[in-house]
Amino acid sequence: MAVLFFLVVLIFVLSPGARVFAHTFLNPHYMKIALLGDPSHNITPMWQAFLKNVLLCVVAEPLVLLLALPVALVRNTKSPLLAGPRAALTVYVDFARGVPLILVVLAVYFGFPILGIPFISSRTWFQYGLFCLVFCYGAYVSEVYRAGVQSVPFSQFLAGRAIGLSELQLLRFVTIPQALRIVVAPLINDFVSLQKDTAIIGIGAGVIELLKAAQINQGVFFNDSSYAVAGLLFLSICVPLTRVADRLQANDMRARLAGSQS
Amino acid sequence: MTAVLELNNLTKSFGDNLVLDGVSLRVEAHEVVCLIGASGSGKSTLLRCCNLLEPATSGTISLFGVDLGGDEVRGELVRREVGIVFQSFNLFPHRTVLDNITMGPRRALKVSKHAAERKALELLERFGLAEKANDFPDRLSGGQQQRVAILRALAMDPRLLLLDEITSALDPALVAEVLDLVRELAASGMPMLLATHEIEFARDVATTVVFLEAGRIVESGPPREVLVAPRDPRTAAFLRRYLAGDETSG
Repeated sequence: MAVLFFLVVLIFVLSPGARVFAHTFLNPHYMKIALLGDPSHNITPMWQAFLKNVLLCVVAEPLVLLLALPVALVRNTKSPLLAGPRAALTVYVDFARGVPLILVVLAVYFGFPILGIPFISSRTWFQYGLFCLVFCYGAYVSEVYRAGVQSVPFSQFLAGRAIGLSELQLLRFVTIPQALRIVVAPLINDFVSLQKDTAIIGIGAGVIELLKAAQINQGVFFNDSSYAVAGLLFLSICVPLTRVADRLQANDMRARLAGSQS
Repeated sequence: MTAVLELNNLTKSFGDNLVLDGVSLRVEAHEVVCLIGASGSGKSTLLRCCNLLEPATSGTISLFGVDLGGDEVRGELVRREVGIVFQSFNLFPHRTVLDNITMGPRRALKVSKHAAERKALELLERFGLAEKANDFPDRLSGGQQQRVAILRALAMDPRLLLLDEITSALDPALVAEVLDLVRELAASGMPMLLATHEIEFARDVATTVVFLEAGRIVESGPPREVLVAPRDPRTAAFLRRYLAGDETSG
């Protein structure tokens, strides 16, 4: 692995255009200006623009986690009473997973305002952004939940029923806690992905978030280093997040194996 | 006197597959009824019908004289009175031993956390598992897990206990500790209906032995009759096969 990485780096460094590449994409001078802003050009510093992405992601994620759960639970039922909602949610999940986020963003930002519906047509860019992210990611996350619940062995349902738990108690105390443990890693995976997809919101929203700030920088200085800054900023959040996920899982495992020593 | 449990002409089918074919039996107070029979003879299904984990297809089940057949009878209420222990323990892996035992009383019976824990600790103490209270199930041996599973059922103060081949998944060396616990329960007067492959144990502890084949009761009676001098040739054949297998494996 390390050798492979080294080889790739070597190819870049030894390539005929290495110097031009470094000057265009990894220029420390322009990276610094892009990140911290430049008073003389009145350009939004990228770290400030990035706060918009972070805020969007931080608000969207809990909503996604919350709203996906009932979707998953209803889709997992078999009762004929819920056949209608189940069918509706299946259509939603298929649709939201099948349509690229960028199309949803375009439809919402350019479509909703001209609909002329009192509440829906007059929301802020942030609320529209939230809607797009929650709409798309809710479908993905509900499928993750659903897989988690289904991976809890049937014997656990029997055991829960055997001690007189009602169906709701069974979900709350037996199924969901076990399913959540199983889905922590895929959920963090989706969280990382959502965090990156906040960049797509900028395409519809008329605000300067990270990607747009990078484009403006590029346009002013004719240098692409601002894109590298955007990449580094995303990495600065995503990499620690995946580390945290690994740590969480390791801790959970250790706690379960060390019960007797406490 | 009303029986603890009375089954009348119980049938159960899964699609075209008739698993129970007109089973009638009674469990009286302080009685231990042992179901024996080959795998697939319907023992587990019979037990699961008794506490409505599986709905019976036809026939009646009554518990202390109350018919469980009506639509208004809720399975979870029945299961608060009738405990069941499974072959594969089925402890909750995400909860400690103590939490496994207190979950039923706390959530289903609404007993306070304090009272439920005190009782669970008493049970653990009484059956020599006190130092395992804060362990997670995967730290326990199979025998210990199965004993915890029995205590989890006992914590509900059941009026009848169903045991579904509770030693079949255990290492032979761990079977004794589980059977000893069951013996102790039998001695304390807990009515039990159990499916078992342990013929020796059935002879020791059962008041009645029931031999099932293909979902029907072939023969039932006191162990010294059914197990020692069976009247039906099918029972005799089963016991011979069983004893032959036991000697080769033991």
